[in-house]
Amino acid sequence: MGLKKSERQELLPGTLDMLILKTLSRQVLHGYGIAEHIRQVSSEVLTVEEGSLYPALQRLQLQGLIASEWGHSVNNRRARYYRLTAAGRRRLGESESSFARLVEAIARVMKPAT
Amino acid sequence: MAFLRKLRTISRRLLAVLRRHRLETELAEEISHHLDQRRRQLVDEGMDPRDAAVEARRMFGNVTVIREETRDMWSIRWAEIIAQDLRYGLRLMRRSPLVTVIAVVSLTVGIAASTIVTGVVNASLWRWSAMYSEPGRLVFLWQTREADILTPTPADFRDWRGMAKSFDSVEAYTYRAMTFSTSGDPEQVQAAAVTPGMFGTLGVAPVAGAGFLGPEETWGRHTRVLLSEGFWRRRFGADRAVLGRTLTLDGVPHEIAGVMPAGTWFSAARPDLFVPLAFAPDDPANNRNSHFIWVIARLHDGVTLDSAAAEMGIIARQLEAQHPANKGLGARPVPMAEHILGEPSRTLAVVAGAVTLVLLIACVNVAGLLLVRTAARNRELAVRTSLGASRLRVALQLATEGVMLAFAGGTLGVAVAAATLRTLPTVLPANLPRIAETGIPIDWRVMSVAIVAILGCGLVIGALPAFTGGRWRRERSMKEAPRWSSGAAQARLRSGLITAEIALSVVLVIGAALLVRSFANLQSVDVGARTTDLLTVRIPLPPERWRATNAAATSAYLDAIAERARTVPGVLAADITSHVPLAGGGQSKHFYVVGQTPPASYQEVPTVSLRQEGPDSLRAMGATLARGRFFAGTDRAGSHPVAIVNQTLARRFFGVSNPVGQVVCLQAPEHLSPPDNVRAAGGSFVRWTIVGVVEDVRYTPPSEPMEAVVYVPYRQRTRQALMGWAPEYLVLHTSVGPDLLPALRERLREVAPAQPLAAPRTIEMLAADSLGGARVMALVLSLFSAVALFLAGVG
Repeated sequence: MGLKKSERQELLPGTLDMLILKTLSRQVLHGYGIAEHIRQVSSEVLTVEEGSLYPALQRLQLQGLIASEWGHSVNNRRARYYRLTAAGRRRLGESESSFARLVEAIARVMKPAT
Repeated sequence: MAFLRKLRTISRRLLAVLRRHRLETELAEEISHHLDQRRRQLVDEGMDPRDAAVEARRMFGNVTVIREETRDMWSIRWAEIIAQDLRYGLRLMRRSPLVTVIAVVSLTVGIAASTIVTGVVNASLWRWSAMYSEPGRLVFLWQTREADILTPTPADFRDWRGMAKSFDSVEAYTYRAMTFSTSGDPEQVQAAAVTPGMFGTLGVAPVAGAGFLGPEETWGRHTRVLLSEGFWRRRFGADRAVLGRTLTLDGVPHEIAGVMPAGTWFSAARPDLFVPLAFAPDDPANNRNSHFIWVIARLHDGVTLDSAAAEMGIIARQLEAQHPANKGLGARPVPMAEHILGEPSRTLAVVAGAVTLVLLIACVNVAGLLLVRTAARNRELAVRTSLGASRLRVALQLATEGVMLAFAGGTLGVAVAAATLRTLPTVLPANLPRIAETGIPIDWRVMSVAIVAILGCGLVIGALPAFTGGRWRRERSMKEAPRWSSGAAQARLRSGLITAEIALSVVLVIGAALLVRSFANLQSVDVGARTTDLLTVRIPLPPERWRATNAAATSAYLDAIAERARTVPGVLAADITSHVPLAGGGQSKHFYVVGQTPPASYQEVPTVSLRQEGPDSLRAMGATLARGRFFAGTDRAGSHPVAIVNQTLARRFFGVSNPVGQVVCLQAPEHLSPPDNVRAAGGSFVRWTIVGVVEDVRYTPPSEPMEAVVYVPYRQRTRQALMGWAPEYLVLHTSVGPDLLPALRERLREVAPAQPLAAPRTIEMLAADSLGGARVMALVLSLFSAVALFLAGVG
């Protein structure tokens, strides 16, 4: 079942969108696939109540950052697949750089004085 | 760029709402797929299938909440889209304030005008019908003599009521001026005397107390009165405690039985009170000769007007056979609505047409203005559409702007209309029924018409630019300069609008000009009396005085009043008269010249209009003497009966020869007249000698022809003369207007302390009243065409 609840990290607000965009930057996935990817790649540190993906996906879709298409999954079930759009790729780039700046700034503050 | 992206987001959201249902089912499918996958994976890892299902749900979270949150994303808050459009529209308006102001003003005027007219039409026509139950079945019953209609006599009314089968009920009424006294000055009130079943027939219930019960038609049981709501509020402060108390009318105590609501009375008259129509046993008017009763009736369910008319015709012929007095008299029902509302309806129809034109012009004007502004934004719009903004989106935005303007103008317009309608009843002509009593409220009918008008304007104004603004072709390459492909179409539309506007304005202007000219013609018509410095006052007489049995005492009373009136400072001449100029009225009398060939039958005896005068009244009125002399103090009871005629009568009966010295009779020849009349006159009718001819004095409205008028001295009114009622007006040659009244009352206190004075009107007021309808029409239409011209010029 993975890490205990106390060890799981809550997401910083607003980062869910960024994670989704990043996940879709290299592949086309359906909702479950995105949830699984984030869980695995983060070694289960980042937990998302899986359902909360769907409002986020809808929002990103309405903003034109991702697009979706119905297709068939591995076991021949109908599933909705999401992909990144050009605008989404641009936004991902912006988010990555501002996130990196944020992390660096926090690290600098936390670094012991020399 | 961000702006464009916002645009696309909004349009996507818009479309999402439209496909809401499909999205719901798709989401459900997605979620079930996710849960299924998670369950499978857990089972693969070795979990028990049932536990796996539960765990999958737990990991997912609350499905219902998730669905709601997702729905929120696509569920459009319309306010967001509209708020954005509104902000955009406001920004546009601020950028071109002049256009905005003109547009809003145009719309305000248009909507205000149509709301006002709707309010008036509503108050006078639609609400009239709403007041009575099944108003389509209410009719007037007129007596007819060849082409004329007459009010029937009390005896005829009773006969019709008894004999006619076509009606559920037949009621009668007449008007009476009564003196209502409490402590202090006696007050004169207008009363309507009605048969007890009147309000039941109309279908109006009292707002307080009870109505008439039935026995009141009998003399002795008739001393009950119903107050009108207006009178109740004015005089008693709407106090319910007055019910059951008594009120003294003409010296007789009446019990206050109830209060009738405002707007009860169907004609333009505004009675303060309602008394029962009852006749004293010796009342000389209660006969077959006095035509002073109005009769209304309610058609029986299923009976047509034509069959009722046929029955009335038969009844009239039966009465003719039974009573000589009814010779030549027929009977005819006329729908009440047609009789009362017919003429005002036509006036209002014209005004409504004019208002629609004005509204159209305002819309066209504003649409044109917006079109000009759209043309200036061609470039911007071309760029926008070439980048992918949907046509629908752009069109919607332009339409919203139009609706915003319409809304702004409309709200202001309704406010202006509300303020105007409050003061309007005092200015309107009196022939619009009941408006002065009920006011002109803005009720749901008026509001809905206003709203429809506003929305209509908004659509028209918004749709026009949207149609042209949306017709942009996408450019294949942004490197080319954007082509303004709709420019030509726009220019054509604009010139079309201008032409339409000018055409409509011209129509209005022509209409107004015609009306103004006809009004000017009416105004310049010769009155035949003095046009300034003339004051008239009504001196209503109590019943004992106006009956002919008391003629001598009444004459003495009137003499005293006239004499005292002359002593009031500022009065150059004053005397008693029976009818004042431009106020209509007149007593219809038979007329024939002694010595000329008498008419062959009663029906063929011609009629003229009778007036009773004091010696000085014609002079005071400013009438011009053409031949002979005016009346003098020597023309009194006992001296030779004299008469003066007007030019119209002189021409009609004497051609070019001199009427002075001829002898005339104001009844049909004795051998043709009803025996009752001859008996009442003591065997033979009075013969009058003409002593003078005056130039025509106008009593009827300027649009109607002059009547043949004969004047006799009121002092020579005797029982035998069969002159009808005593004169009730005082006419004064003075430059002081109605302010004279207190001084007059003071002087009269010595000889007539209980005499009420009513309705002081100067000749200018009378002239205005008689022209009433025409003046309003001309004014209104001129106003509208001025507005239209202004709008057209500005646009």
